[in-house]
Amino acid sequence: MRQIAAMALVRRELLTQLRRLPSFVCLLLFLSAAIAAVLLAWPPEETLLSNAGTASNLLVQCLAFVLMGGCVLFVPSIAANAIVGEKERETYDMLFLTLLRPSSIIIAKLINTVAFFILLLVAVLPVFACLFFLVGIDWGQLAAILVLVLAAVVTCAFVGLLSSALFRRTFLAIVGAFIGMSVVMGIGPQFFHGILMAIFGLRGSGRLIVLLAGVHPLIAIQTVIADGVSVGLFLRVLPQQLIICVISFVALLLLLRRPPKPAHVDFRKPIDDPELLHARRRRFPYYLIDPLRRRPPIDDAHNPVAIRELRHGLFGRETRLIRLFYLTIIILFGTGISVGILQRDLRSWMLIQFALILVGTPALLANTLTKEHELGNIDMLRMTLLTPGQVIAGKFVAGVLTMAPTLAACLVAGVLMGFGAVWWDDRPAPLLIGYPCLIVCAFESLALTFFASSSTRRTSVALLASYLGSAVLFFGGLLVWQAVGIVEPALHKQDLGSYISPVTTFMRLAGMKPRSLWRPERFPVWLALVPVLVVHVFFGRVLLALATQSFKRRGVRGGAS
Amino acid sequence: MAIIETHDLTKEFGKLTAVDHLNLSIEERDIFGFIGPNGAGKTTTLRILSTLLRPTSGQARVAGIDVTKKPYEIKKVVGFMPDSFGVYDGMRLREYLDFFGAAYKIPGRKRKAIIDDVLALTDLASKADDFVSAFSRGMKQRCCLAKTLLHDPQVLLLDEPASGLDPRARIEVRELLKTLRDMGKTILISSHILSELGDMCNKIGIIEHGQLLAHGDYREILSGLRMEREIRLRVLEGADRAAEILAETPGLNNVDRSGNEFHFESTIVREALADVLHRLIQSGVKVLFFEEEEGTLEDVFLHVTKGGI
Repeated sequence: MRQIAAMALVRRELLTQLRRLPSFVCLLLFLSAAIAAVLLAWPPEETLLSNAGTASNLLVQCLAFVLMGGCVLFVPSIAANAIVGEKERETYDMLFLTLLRPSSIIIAKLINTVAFFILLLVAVLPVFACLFFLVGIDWGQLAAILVLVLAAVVTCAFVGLLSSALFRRTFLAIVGAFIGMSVVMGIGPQFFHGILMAIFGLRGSGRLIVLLAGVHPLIAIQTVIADGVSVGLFLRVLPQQLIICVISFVALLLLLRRPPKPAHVDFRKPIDDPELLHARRRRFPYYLIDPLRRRPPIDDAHNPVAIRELRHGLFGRETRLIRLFYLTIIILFGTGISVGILQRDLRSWMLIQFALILVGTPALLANTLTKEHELGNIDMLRMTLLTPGQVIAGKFVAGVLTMAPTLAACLVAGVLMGFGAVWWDDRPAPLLIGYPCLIVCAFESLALTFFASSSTRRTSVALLASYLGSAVLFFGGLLVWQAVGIVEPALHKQDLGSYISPVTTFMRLAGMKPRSLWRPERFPVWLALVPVLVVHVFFGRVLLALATQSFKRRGVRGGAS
Repeated sequence: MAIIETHDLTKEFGKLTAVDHLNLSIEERDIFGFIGPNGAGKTTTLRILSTLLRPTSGQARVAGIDVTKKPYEIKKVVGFMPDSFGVYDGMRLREYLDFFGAAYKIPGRKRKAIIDDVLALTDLASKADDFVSAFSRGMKQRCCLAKTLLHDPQVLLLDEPASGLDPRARIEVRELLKTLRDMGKTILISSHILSELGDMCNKIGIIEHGQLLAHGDYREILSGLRMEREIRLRVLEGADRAAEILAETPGLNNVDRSGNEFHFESTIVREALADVLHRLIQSGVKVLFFEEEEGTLEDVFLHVTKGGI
């Protein structure tokens, strides 16, 4: 009986998920990305004829990377929405009261998440089938790749579900899922490797790199393609995934067995006693923000939305912003020591900061306008005398200030790293080129996130759209240029594609030898940076205007549908 | 003078016509009860009047201002309380009202006094330093009403203000609305709690499938729509004679006798009914009371609407 009930939940989940338009759009985007990746990596005809096996390996590797990219992008966000969505729709209590056991609920939610990805996988299989004719890969390798991808999908889904059960808000659950997944699947092993190297001075320790990186599914897929299938490889990768899944499952069981907690209610009153407040301000973290201090009324000259966001948004959450600042500093110094100083690779260190900004901006701000829908405040906000422009401007100011600690931490770390580089007789060119690009990148990412947030009602959709938009905005130009290069090789040789986005421009310029950058007798290449940055600042401004328009239009179009 | 007017107001969502050529006229200081089954188009009408939705065709004017042409001016004169709304996390009630006060461009020097006034009016003064997210449903309703009153709007559009409230909270909201009526506000209120609307409203409009089926003075609609009157008669002496007279009179049906008390339906005009009473008294029947039973809004609602979605 319980199994039937569980199946009912699975059916309901699949029905509600798969018949939605976003699912179809995701499928379409994913398939397009897979086909585009294969086309872009397609080798010239002479290579295909002379060395079909290597070409086939490269193409399969490309496709596997796309699959893993899809897993990293879609699975945590779908899984993170699974349980927290029930809480937000206030259906969790009803689900808890049914005869379903927590394990049935977990399995149903897991099947739902994995089923969607299997659908994506099935959609990509014809592309795999085409590559199979190039005879560079056998059935065993293909099966091993699919098993590794599926293992990663299940692990990501478990991490996402755990985050979903832990939090009460979709936004926090999604951010938690991405952070958890990054630690488990991405930066975790590398980050610990950096720290270990910094502590024990294990520079270039090949064995450690193999040990830590070997457990990563992506590295394992590369190994399968390059060296074939081995039992040892599976024994190295799968147990780690299995352990994560089991730990997550047990934690989920414990969380779902407990009755749903009522929302936290804060009964503390504001403190009016100046002496008491003064005494509190000496303690961490109240020296910057004390949530119990009585706030003065909003000044007439200020934008009420900006003040409200700052006082009661991330800034108002007691210590979160301060902690975020310290966390960023720690991450940057950890990676700075391991990558920037020990490996003398400032370019890679700057790229970590780009990744931090591009990942962090949507994660912190995707809900900036969607939360008004989700909390049910949008109508009341629209009925005020604030214009859409004022609402967006207020949110934008608050968004800039929310991102400021992360950006400030990057800049502070950059200055120190610059001094370090000079001290170690290195050239700080990557830093000088990198920081203007990073600031423009942050602005554009912020504007893009605002546009995504104002164009949708769901935080999960806004977050996904922001990440997809960032991928297109910062790397799409280069990919398109590569595609053009396939048709017209003469254009491809000019390498202008790198100068389309600030990130790829930085990657191109920072990869040059310093002499090529500053060569006085020719046009200084670094000046290419100026038009790129100007265009992108302008584009960011356009995105903000579009966000305002979108907010305005949705204001009068909304309602029953 | 009509403060709210709609002329052939229509709103279509794809193939669904939510509001169908609605013609409405609400006078200043009216309390207009907007009644209709679920999905009848009440909320859509209120959202159009509050500029949150653009009509497909037709016109709507509030205080003489066209809602599609001057939405900013409309917001100054209208206070809209949606049927479902949320509250901001981590905000105390005073901070919440201060935010909306600033958003309604109330100058800072006046804002504190206005907030104190609306807090007193909505009986929330003791909760000013509490977090709004911790409020009960009834307190959140009052908090939203306080927010709606901040900019002293001429017209209040209240969408189901008493839904989900316990009896005490409902009575409190009802009393509050009566106070607002006495303060001269025009109130357009949609509700399913018909008995309470009947108690408060002087005019009603009944809407179904986006069409206005009846609208006007509450008492007139009540009496005009009922085909049969229900009469109660109680006598001290002469009950048998009274029974004979009632049986003889054409147009009096379903006479139900219980001791000295009679209950019957009448299809005759009021003058003829007065004649019946006259005959009873002339025949020596000692009449204790002879009264027409007042219908309720529920009766009218069931009579006018057809049901179904």
